[in-house]
Amino acid sequence: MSRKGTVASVISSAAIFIILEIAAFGLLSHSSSLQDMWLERISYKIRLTLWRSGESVRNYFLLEKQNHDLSEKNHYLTEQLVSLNGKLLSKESDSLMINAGSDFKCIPAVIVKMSRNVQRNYFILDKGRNDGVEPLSGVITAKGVVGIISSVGENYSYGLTLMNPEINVSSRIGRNGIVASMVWDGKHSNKAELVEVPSYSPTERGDTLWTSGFSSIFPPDIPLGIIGEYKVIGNTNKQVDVDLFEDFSVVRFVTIVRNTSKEEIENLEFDNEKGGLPL
Amino acid sequence: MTKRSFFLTNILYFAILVLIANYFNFSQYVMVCALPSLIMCLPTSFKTPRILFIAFTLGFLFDSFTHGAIGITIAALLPVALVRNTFIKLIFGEELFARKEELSFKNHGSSRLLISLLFFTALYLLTYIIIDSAGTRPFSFNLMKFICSFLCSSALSSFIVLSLTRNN
Repeated sequence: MSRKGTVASVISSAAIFIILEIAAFGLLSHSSSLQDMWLERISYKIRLTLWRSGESVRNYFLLEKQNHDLSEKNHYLTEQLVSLNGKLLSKESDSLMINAGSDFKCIPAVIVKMSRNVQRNYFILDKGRNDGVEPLSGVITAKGVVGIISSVGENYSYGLTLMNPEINVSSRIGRNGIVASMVWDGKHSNKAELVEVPSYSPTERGDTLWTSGFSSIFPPDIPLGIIGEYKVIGNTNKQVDVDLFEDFSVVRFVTIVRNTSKEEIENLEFDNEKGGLPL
Repeated sequence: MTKRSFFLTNILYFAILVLIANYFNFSQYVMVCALPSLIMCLPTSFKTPRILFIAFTLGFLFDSFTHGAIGITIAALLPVALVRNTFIKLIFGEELFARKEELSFKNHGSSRLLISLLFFTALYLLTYIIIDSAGTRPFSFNLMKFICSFLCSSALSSFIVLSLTRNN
């Protein structure tokens, strides 16, 4: 018999076997309640397995939508957090400082392109001028700082990630600790360094690092990472390793933060640098 | 053995098996059944689909004439029918089917016949006991029942196979 004929014969035998076996079990379930219950239990288990597999497949195809939903929710929560932080600061500060730190507008965005393997890494976001994005806006996630937008198109914007030697972020060790600049360590996608930390300042391994809020780009109190080992440089400064919460190899959904008072702050800085103090 | 006498012998053995199933119920641990031996000794010219239909009919008649639940013997006998030709080819070689020979005690010896018989009996009993217990009996009980039934059924089946293949 040819190979084709053999295959056909095997398939037909298997089909007949299955049909007859089903008929046998059908007869059995009608004639015995014990076997009927047993067969029902088996068929329920099989159905359950099939349903579970079906649900897993369905969930897999829904992941993209779920990610978008989560991103929306995350954006909403970030906005709330920034606003509440501002209110908290204004309460803790002088009564004349109203709404300090709450002037940030949040825009959710998705990274459409991001480089990770060069010295000057960049990203492109799917939001542009039409969505209210402006140059020098910050880009954050719930896990930390991603980068700074440097130029904006109609529908897309371009920025430099933290994985860039030119980007430094003003950060604070602990809630009330010392403020220092954080820069990328130049090697890893989830490690950075705190530079020019005075050697006398206490730095405990395991402390959390937060944004200081001293720059007009990032709102305060965004968690950045955990303090690691440090080394003293030239007896006066320390260089502290930081394990970032954000892993740049997997980041995709981000929030753009734009300081609405940035222009006013910059004008004030510019005027004072130009004219000095009116003595 | 002529076709007619083979057919009549098979009917006779079937009737004996029905009687055994109805009147020789010694214990919960022993179930004597030699239907797989009848399936095994069917002519080698029969293709698998035909054997499956014969097994279905035999099982249905057996269940109808005995006090078992209708369908249980069919369900246990169908796997034997499905693998019958394949297993015999494996044990006796392809040439048996190519030369259209029948299973013969004289030509093929007792050992190969016995191996086939034990395999089919074990397969049948295993399926039967699993379905019969329907997940309600402990494994030790099922194992004991399988061992006792296997010994008794194999002895009876050997006699039937010997008589059906002796004259081929």
